[in-house]
Amino acid sequence: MNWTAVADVAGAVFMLAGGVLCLLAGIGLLRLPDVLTRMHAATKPQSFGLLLVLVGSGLWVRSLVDLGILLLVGLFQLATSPVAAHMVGRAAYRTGRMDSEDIVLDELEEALRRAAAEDERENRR
Amino acid sequence: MTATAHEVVATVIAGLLLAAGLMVTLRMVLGPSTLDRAVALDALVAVVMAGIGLQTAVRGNAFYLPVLLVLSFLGFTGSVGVARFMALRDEAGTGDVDESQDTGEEGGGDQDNGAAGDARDAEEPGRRPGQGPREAR
Repeated sequence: MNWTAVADVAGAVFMLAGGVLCLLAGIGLLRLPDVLTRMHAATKPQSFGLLLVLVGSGLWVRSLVDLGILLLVGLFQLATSPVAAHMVGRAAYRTGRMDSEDIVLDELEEALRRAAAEDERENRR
Repeated sequence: MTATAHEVVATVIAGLLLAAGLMVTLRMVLGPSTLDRAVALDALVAVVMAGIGLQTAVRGNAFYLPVLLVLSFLGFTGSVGVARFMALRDEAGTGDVDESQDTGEEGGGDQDNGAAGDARDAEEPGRRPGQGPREAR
């Protein structure tokens, strides 16, 4: 068994795992109740699932230029998807699309209350 | 032997991705709020990117890799734009973009806090008088 066969099998396993993560994200998006929990499901293929598929794809392609592009794709995906998740989560909190009872620790509410009090003080001055 | 094994594995993975894409699209159609649709759009972009990666691996040609690169650059702009749009509407005191019914009283309170906390770093988008919690200023 030479190393190309090993790389093929490993790539197949990686891509299969990535596909399963994508499927799990689909199921989670359908079944979970509100925006924040759906984000929890939807960010699985965005970071980890896509990275698995890219690693598997690189193991099958095995050319240096394509590996470089795949690495760049993974890096940019890791850099951009947290930005989108942050913005969407913030908007979801601000528009009240979540169960406030289910949250164990809500630090943003404290911060917002402190900011509102500070605003009030500045207003009065 | 290897060619057929590759084909079988690729077909299975493509089936998984197709099912995932169908479910994500269903959420995008059903989604009660705009934010649900934005989240579903992000997930759909990720699934499409996985599909392009799989196609590159199976065909062995790198023709679509730049598409992958562009998607990883620009895939997030849609949901960022939607989130920003909703935040602006929220700030202006017009309440919800959707006519959805699931915003309770806590949601209203959060909205007021959010408007008070967020309006200071924004450039006051055309706020009509008589609307919003801070028109006294």
